[in-house]
Amino acid sequence: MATNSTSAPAAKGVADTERRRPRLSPDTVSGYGFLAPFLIVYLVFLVYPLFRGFYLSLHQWDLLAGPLGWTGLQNYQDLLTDPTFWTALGNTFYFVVLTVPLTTVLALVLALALSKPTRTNAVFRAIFFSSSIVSVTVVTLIWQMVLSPSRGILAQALGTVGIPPLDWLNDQHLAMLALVIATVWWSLGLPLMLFSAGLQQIPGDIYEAARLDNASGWRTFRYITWPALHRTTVLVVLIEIILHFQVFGQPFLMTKGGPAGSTRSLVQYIYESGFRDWHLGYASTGAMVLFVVMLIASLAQLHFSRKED
Amino acid sequence: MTMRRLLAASLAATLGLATTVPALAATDITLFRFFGSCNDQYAGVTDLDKAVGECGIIQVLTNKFNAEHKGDIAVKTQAVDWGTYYNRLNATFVNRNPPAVAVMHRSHLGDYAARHLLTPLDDLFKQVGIDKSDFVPAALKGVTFDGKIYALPFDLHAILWHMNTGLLGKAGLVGDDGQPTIPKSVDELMAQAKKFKDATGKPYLLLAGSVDPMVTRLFETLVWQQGGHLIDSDLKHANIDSPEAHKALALINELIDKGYMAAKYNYTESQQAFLDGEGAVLINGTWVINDYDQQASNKASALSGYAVSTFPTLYSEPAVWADGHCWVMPRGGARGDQRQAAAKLLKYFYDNDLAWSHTGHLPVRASVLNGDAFRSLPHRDAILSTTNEARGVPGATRSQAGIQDALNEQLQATYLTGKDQDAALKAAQKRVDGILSGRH
Amino acid sequence: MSDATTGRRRADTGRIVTLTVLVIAAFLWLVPMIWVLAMSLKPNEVLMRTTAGLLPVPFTLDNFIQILNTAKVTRWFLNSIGVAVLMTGITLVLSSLGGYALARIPFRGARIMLIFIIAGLTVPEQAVFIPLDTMFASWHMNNTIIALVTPRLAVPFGVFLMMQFFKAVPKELEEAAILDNASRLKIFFKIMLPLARPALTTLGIFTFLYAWNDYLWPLVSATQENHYTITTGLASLQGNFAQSEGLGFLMATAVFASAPVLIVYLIFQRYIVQGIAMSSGK
Repeated sequence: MATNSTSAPAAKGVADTERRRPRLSPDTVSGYGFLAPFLIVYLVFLVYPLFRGFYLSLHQWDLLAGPLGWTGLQNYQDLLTDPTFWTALGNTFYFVVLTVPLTTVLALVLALALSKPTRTNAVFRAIFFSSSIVSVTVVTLIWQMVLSPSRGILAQALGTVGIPPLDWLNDQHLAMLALVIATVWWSLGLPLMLFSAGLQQIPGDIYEAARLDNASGWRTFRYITWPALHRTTVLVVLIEIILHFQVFGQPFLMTKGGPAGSTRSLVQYIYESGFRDWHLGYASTGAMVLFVVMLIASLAQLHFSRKED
Repeated sequence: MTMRRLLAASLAATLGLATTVPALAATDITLFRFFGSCNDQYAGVTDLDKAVGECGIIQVLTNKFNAEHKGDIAVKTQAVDWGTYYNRLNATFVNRNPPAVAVMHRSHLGDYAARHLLTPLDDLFKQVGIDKSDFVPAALKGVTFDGKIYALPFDLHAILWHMNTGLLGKAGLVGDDGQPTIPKSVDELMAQAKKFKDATGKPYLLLAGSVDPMVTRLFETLVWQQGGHLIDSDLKHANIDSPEAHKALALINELIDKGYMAAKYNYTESQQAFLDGEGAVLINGTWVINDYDQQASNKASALSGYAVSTFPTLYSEPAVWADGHCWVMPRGGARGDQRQAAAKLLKYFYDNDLAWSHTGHLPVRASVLNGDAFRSLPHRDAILSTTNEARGVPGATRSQAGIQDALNEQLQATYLTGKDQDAALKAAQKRVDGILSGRH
Repeated sequence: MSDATTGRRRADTGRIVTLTVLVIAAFLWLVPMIWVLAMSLKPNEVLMRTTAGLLPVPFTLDNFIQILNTAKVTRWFLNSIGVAVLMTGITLVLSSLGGYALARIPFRGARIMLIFIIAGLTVPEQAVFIPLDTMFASWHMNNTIIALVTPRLAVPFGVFLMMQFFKAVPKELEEAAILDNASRLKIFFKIMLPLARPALTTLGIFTFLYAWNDYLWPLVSATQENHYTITTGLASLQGNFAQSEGLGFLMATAVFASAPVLIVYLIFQRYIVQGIAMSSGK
């Protein structure tokens, strides 16, 4: 674009400049205009608190008495040498390692069994999804009742065949399993639907070709279905890891983190550090560690999903 | 169909809401407490004779107060469950709208007083006529920090030895005088427990040793009875990795391993087991004497005869874990007219210390404690010495909630998850040291 | 007998076996909820003796009537509705506007904005509940409906979902309008939004469920009893009950807490499937 010549009259020249080199294109204006409402909420209620949480973690910060002094990375050092933290982190990992494969495999098996678009299958899918609708307090209430050795329906059912009742929530080996069972029941819905959607996207003619070749069910699955589902599987697994790593309600309400702290999750530790022990700074440190773990997992998710595009 | 029901429900709800709008003139104050939720069961009840248990008595007292001050003061109860009570209370402080009156354990007072979160009550006591000289010295001391009174003492509670005398009789553990045999040493305990188990096949002792902090209270009692201590007097270090602690923990585990104590219960389960006659002795607090006495009078109950005693001295010193309830006025809670209203409620609780002691808790007013009305209540003569044996960690110890949880977790680990006792005590020592130093 | 017939017979048997297994599995899956529903319709005294049985016999509506008479439970319920409806409505507005911008408006810095916002998907809500609580406390705004609604509006999932949807809309639909010199706003309201109804419904359902079932944040922020949501209120009832009496009432509160979301689900379930298919991308 030609620049203004100094020979032109001043007023007209200025007007020309503005017309020829607008500062903001209408697209930029409308773009940010549309985005602004969300952006404002996002900055104030997600981004800022995240940074503020980091700021808190660098202080000795009392829940009610406020900041008591800058401690730099001392909180991080204390956290990483705190056995209770490591137990909570380990419990959370254990929980994720049990829940994620179980949910994924079960969801995949059901999705395969219900892959044909019939009305019956739609009803089945709706049934298996329905448990995902209720809240965590309802889920824990239901499962505490179901697993109760004295009054639960499981104890009653096993009792009819002479099996003595199990004390799920007080037993060191069974408590975590109880949480996993309740969680799988609660969270199966979304992976089931994701796998179902993924299966629907596989073109029918591939299966036709396999059938003509007289391929068995297993071979069809292994060489056609499974690779085609790869992207969906990765998505499902990583969504679940992120979801379940943040577990709070199930252990907090069903076992209170017991027996003897063996089911306490990382988020429960953060909550207790803040609201029982008064240490907001220390609690925020735990929260930052949680965030870093989530970040690593999410970057892995983005990396893997993009690989398939 | 469902739509219509929903509509009906929302209509009913709106109407319900409309009728809960308080009268214009009354001063509303919030009473934040645990003790359970039973205002439906006791709705409109103002007769104390009909009240049973902590929830019943406190609810009826509140109802009575509201009735006596109708149009003037309206107390709104917010019952929070025991396990998350302090988290919730702390959250109200964070939100800058704490309640007007709240209950607290004496063991938690220090944290709040130190952070200047409570209204000093000396002047308010004088205004409403609460005579602090009537308080048992230990009770008054427990609520005084830096020379100021920060709470109204309400009771003293400790762990007790609750007995199913019917079952003990079956095992030959009731004397000719009809009094149940109570061990006076560790050896006697073992012998009696064995005798009971051999005769009935059931555990001698029942304990809420899962989730609940009862095992910590038992542990502390056993340590103090040996003359040991748990927190150094300078409040900077714990003394959990001590010979007395090792002995106490070893005793607890020995009782469990030999089948003399069933501890894999939460609170409700342990109580139910006792009421179902699954064991002879339940280690539980003062707050259930009222309840169990009533249960035992029911012929259909498996609790065929009930007696209670002070926790037996199994070592050299009489001592028992104790704490106390008290009422506080959080700073920023009651404002303006509410302050007077709250003070009046406190006076009302002070006047009804005897009524509260019907629960089983020990009164904190000397005039009530020494009076006939209290001593004639069932079983009270058997537990009088508890007031003198009551022990706790030093009142100004910080974060006692966190300390108790830390200790509880390690103790429970030894019999719930098979943790080595040595390792457990060392871990507890380390964590409590961290708490005392302010790091955790 | 040809191979085809034997094969078909084998397939039929297989299908019957699969169907039987599925029916049993579906039944077992529903048993916990059926059982709780049955208990909610039985009298408390009966339940103190035994909790066995999947059928509500003897039948009573007393527990539900007691709920409707307990002002606080219905209050909690209304709180949950208020929070869920507000959160859903505002999220739909913010997400559709933002999603459209990221999908269709070629503005400067769009790519950076996209990365900035998508990165927010990695932030777990539990990592920020403490600073959020102190923020609202300093504004004296805890125990308000605003405090319960606003933090969750910031979750970028909605923007992400709407963006995916708008990207899939054929460009030709917009092009005609652009050539006509229509403003972005006009295009958005007249063309894009009407098309987006299925996506909006799906996002609306997800958000409603999310709002209804939120536990940690209302636990921390709403400390006054009359501001509890049904989710936190129900948890507080659980802790308070001695668990030996009022079992029917407790079960009824669980049913009461779940009923609206189950109804929403039953009515809108196919949109949930669609929405999931959409967000998993093509």
